[in-house]
Amino acid sequence: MLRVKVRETAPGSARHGGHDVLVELAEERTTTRELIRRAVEEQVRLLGDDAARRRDMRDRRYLLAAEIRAQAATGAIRLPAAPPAPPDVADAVARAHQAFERNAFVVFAGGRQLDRLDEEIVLRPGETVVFLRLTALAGG
Amino acid sequence: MVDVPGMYADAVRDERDALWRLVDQARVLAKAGDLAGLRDLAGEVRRRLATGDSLDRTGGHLGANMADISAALDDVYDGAFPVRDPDDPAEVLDAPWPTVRRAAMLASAVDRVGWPTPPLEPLAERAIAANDVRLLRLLVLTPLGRAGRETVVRIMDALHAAGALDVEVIEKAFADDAYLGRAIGGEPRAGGAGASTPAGCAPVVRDHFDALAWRLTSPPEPDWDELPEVLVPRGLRFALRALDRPHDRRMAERFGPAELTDDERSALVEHLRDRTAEERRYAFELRLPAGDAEVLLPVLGLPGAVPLLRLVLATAATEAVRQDRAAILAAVRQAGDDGARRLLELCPSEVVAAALGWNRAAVEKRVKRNALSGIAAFGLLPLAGGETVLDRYLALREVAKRGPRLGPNRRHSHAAAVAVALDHLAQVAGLPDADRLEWDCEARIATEAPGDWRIADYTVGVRLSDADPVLTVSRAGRTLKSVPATVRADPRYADVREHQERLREQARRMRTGMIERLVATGGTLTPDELLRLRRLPAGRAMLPALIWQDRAGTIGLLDQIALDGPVTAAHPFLLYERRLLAHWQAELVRRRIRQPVKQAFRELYLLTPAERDAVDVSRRFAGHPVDGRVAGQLLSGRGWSTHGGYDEHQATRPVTAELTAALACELHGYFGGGDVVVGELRFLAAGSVVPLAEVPPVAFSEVMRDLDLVVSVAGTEPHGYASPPHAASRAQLLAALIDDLGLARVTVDGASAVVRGSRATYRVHLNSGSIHVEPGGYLCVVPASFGDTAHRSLFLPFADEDRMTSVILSKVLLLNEDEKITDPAILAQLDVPA
Repeated sequence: MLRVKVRETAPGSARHGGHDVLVELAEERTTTRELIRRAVEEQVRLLGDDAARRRDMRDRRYLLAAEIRAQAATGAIRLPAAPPAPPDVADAVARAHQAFERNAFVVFAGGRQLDRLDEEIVLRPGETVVFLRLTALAGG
Repeated sequence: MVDVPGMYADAVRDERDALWRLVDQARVLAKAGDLAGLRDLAGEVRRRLATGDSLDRTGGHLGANMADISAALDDVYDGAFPVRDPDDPAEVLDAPWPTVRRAAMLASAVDRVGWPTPPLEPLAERAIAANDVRLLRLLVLTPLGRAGRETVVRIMDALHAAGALDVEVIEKAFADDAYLGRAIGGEPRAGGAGASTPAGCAPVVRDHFDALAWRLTSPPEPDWDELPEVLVPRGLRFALRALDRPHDRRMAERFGPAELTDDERSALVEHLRDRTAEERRYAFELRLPAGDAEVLLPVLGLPGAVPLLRLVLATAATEAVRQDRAAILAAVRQAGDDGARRLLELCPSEVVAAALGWNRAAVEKRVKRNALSGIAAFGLLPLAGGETVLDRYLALREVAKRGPRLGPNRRHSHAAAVAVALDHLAQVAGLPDADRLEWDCEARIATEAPGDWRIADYTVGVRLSDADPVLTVSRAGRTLKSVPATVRADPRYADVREHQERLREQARRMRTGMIERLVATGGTLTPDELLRLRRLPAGRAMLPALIWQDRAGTIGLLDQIALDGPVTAAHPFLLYERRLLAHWQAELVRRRIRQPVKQAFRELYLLTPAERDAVDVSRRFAGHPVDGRVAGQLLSGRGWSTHGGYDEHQATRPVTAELTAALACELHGYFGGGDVVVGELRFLAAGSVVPLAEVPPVAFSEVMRDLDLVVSVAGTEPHGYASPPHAASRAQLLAALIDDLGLARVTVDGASAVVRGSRATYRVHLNSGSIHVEPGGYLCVVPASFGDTAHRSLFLPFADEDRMTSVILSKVLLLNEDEKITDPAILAQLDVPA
């Protein structure tokens, strides 16, 4: 059992309080495919938690003092909008794998860019994983 | 010949033949050494060209088809007038014909090599400073180069001061620029605006103009083509000449308002005494633009109409402007009814006629067309038979409802026009102001209808449920669920429905117009206002559902606070500050209170740490692309005015008497013309930027609420990118990220990432994303397609927080492996053969 820190830098992001995401892996030796799969699963789980919290506030129809304090730090206090329907995990994982293969994003682990889905990698505790979206560029 | 449409081909050929004949003449003169003849011929060539290249002759196709003729002329004139010293500007300028060689000498003298018509300003400055009369004259007389209107007038001023301003210079200056009079000044501008300071040369120039104007327009037929524009002649003779040709509009426009002395004015009055009524009226019309038409009123038999004429002229506005009805009526009284009628025939005025009720049908038509001054005039119409103040009030409210459909900025002027009309109606009704009118009318709506209607054996009434008027029908004390057919069929049922509709409109007006504003600004009501509001059914229903603060600072519902002093609607910021927000939210839910507008549940926006650090600018919503049309509508509905792409700010909204919120956006052309990227928000007071911490928190919160609404409703990017508060500056964030990636070729240096690529070393700026190729190059790389949505539905914890971060990171990664770049547009910039 290994917990890997995934860098997630948007503090106060609507997705979840802006902390780095921890992804659990069964062992240090893994593949890019597995790393992406676990990251997606964790992300969907966090979204689910967030959705549950939002649903909770909406069902109650008002905010608690602690929620107001937490929201004040982000600069806006409001009842959250209705959360979107939770995605299907298997589908989300498959789409992430496809997106990786057409270079929609890149993954860095242990200071190295991962090239292939089936590439074997060894992650050590304390090493950070970074997912980055790529934007297609052209000379202007 | 190139590109000449068939219809002009013959004309162009004829003109070219004529010009070639002139070239032949020039050659003969040159051979004979007749320099004076050549100078004259140059003028003839110029005139021939001007008429030959005109639209009705060759459609402007001659100019592009005379390179050979120009070259031939250049040869002749360069040969006959050689320049001995190209460094002497006077000699270069002193030429009858602007040959290409001379133009090049001039261009290099003023440091504008390559310009075919170089600016003369540098030489003009030199000549004015040195008081060089010869050079000054040449600067105006030369066919070479080009000088701005103000410069020409300054040259003429300098010549005038030196006593050397002659007719030749004046004529050439006007021949080059018929509108030179604009910079000569000294007479009132069109539209009656104040006179500008006349130029020093003005007296001499105007003497010349007066003489010219008199000569050119002498019988038999006036020749207007040679007369410079703008300038107004001086002297009664001009006004009389215009009077003698009553059907000559040109004459009327140019000479009718001629400048008169007081004596001349009296002479004009004397002159008109033994003329026909027709001529007197025409003289009046001619003098209206001059501003002294009132002296003619006695001779027109309207001695008492002077105040009315002044009033008519002062109220001639296209915008809706508040008028004083009492002043209009007083002026009309002084003119007499018949006098007023005749004056308005001479000089029509929509508002004055409206105040007298003389143009009701026309005004109503103008209101239908949403003409602003028409709407304002509508309020001034006297009440027609049977019409009540309330009828007119409701009609104006209907007009007001059309505003939002009229376009983002027009709706504001429409609303302003309705406000003016309400003020006018208050004057008609004899009430002190529009507020009072509003209260009275709204109260009357509520009380006017009888309590209940008896239809057959049913009782029909309108009851309020949460300020929403609902129709109730009961029989024998039992309330029915639906309206029975007998009731529907009764003619009185329409009255019930109308009453219900009026109450509904009243509730809507109160909610959107007054309560919303009260809560959004944390506004205050005096005990008097509160009392009047509570007399209205809608007020009775809405006010108790709001949270208030009384004079002693107690916060509560209306029945929990003291009402003997002013009460303030509690903005959620007040509740938050007092740590009462959670309490009141829970309390409202517990008590099942439905608020008429969002108050306790109103979205509240506070300063973020990033905004505190940035001091006077908020980038909270910066970088969000929004649909311009939708965003424009949302903003204007919230009191914002939108502006163009080249204005300093693209949207502004006054938030308090002193403070304006100003939003910068990236857009093309005008707001609503396409996609808009929301940018930085600032607050301005008296033109300078105010630190965010000094902006009243309520105002700040409401402005941010507007913008949040805009980006969430009009946003064009998927929710994955939505509302990332920029907590850290992008550069810091990127620097930390790039360190994390462990890219061997990349180091972070301040706000730049330095990439040591295989083709070059690049410096990527982490705020703007611009790429410099060291030592001194620039590499332009842009997103391949805008609004790419490839990442829309990926559920991964991405480290890049917005599109710009992603773009900059993608650039760094691209350059990090620059040996793999295949895009020819990038390689070409790196001087690599593709």
